[in-house]
Amino acid sequence: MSELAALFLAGLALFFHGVSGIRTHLQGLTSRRLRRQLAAWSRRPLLAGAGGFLFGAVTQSSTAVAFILTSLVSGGLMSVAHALPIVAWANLGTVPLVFFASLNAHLAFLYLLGVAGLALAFDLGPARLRPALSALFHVGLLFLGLQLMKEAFAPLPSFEGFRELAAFIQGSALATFVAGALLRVLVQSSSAIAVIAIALAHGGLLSLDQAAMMMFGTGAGVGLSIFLLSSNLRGVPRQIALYQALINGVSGLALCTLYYVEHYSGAPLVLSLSAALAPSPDSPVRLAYAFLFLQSTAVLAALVGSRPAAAWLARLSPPTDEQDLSRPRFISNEALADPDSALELADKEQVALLAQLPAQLDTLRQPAAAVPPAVRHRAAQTVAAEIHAYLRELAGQSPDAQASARLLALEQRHALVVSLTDTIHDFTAALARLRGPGSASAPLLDSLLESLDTLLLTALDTTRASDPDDLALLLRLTADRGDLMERLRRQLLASETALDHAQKSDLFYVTGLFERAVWLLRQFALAQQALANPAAVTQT
Amino acid sequence: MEITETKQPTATVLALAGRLDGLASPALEQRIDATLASGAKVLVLDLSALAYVSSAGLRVFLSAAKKFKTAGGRATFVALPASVREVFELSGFLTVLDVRADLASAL
Repeated sequence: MSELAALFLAGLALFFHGVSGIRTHLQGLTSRRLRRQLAAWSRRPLLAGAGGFLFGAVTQSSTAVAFILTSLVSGGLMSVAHALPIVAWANLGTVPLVFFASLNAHLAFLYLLGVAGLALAFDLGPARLRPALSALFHVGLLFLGLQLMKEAFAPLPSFEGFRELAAFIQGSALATFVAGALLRVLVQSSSAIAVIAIALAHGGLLSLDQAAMMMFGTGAGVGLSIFLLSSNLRGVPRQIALYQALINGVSGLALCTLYYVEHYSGAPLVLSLSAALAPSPDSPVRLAYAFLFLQSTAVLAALVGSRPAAAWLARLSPPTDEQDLSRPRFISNEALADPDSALELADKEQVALLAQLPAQLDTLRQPAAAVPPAVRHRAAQTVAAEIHAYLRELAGQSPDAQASARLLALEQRHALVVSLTDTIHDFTAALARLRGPGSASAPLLDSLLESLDTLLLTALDTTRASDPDDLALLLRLTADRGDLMERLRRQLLASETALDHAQKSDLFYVTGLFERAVWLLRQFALAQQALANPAAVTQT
Repeated sequence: MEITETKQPTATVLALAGRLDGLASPALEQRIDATLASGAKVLVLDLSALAYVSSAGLRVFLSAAKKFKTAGGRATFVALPASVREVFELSGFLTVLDVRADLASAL
């Protein structure tokens, strides 16, 4: 018995390692392209469905798809209403694995494992194919694990303990439905549980009806697990998680109800349809069809209820401050077709990012009312990453000389805005630490705060109007501060005797950050000049 | 914040006392605009009793200097207390604004 337990454990481990490996390697291969593609497809229902199906098949987890979509919604690439059907179709994308598992093709998968494993071990084939080979190797591992589990289950009916368990369950379908729901909470993959249910039926531990009910239980289990796990989610991620819980819960309970209606009334429903599609009475393909019906019902529930669900979820869990701030306001994928418009939008987005920085400093004046600086900074980093990806996308489109010059100037300015964002965040955090009530250095810290705010606002002036005087003013205001800051530091050392070493060190740090911010603003002014005359950038 | 206006033969003097923050700045800006609209060419801002100036106040100073320069006049800032001088220095204002030691030197 212990040998069988070890066989089952090894099989289970290989199975889950296989699932996780497929996800990791295929995501590395295609996630960027799929992200863009999904965003583009999300507005067309049929393409959105195909994209969701594909994403579900690649990740083998509609939960993983939901999290990826959350980042797209947070990044402003698609709306919640467009994301919901994709989540629904991702459920259906997990079905093909279950069909493969129901086929007796272990010899083919052993060859796959061997060929892919040897190619990886000896570096055969082009490097760009390695992620795909790794994914195939993990497909092989998954099926090897499944085979081991089947072998572990095969002798079970001959054991006394098994007979006692079977007598306890007494053919109860409800018990396996509940077991499926609880397993889904623990395992977090419906397709994995469906495959295990097929293996259990193959080993004779469950009847086909019970195995089907175990699969239906995973639908209710998704709902249960999301209600348990989503309490720490807020805003858009919670909306998408609750939606997933809702459609899976509805489909699980609906199929459970249909099972009992069929069982007691004899009306030909889900089980009869499965039997009609796979006539052989002990065929595991019947179970794969049952899983297909479960996921199809989830999609159906989504198609019927997406629109009202989006409005209800928005009221139930509105976007958080961070999600609001993390959403780009101007850049859009549609504009990429016209480089001039796309550059204009990227320009506006950068300015909007810069315009957030005075609000970051303002958190020092109104700490209670403001969005916390760390939240603002995380949101700014998200937007900055989106702008960077957008500019890269534009660069990949072979822009003409004029657009290329402007793109270069924008890339240069973007690097400065990102550095400024980080510097202002560090400056704000340091000031928040140092500006306690009765702090001896409070007047100097206030002066640094107000001065930096003034310079930031002046920098913003240069982006809103094309007045060359504004640019000249910013350049003069941001002239080198080296001597001044050095004098301030010497004064600190000499006069602030009430400060201990750590406090003096912090003050030095803050003055250093201020100096860096002023230098960056000067570079920003020069970048503005380059943007006003982009051709000069390429000539120099 | 208190604003006291004095007409001198060659200039209009606005003496500021108290805190020039985001709340007080619009009132000062209105006062400066009214002075400019009255035809004054030289504005002197006496800051000797100014205890604190925020970024909003600093922006009003910059704007005043720009408006008077555009109108062919000038705005001069006099008698800066140490704390205000420090903000001016850190902001780079000492290099772009007309700053003088006392009122007499500005008239």
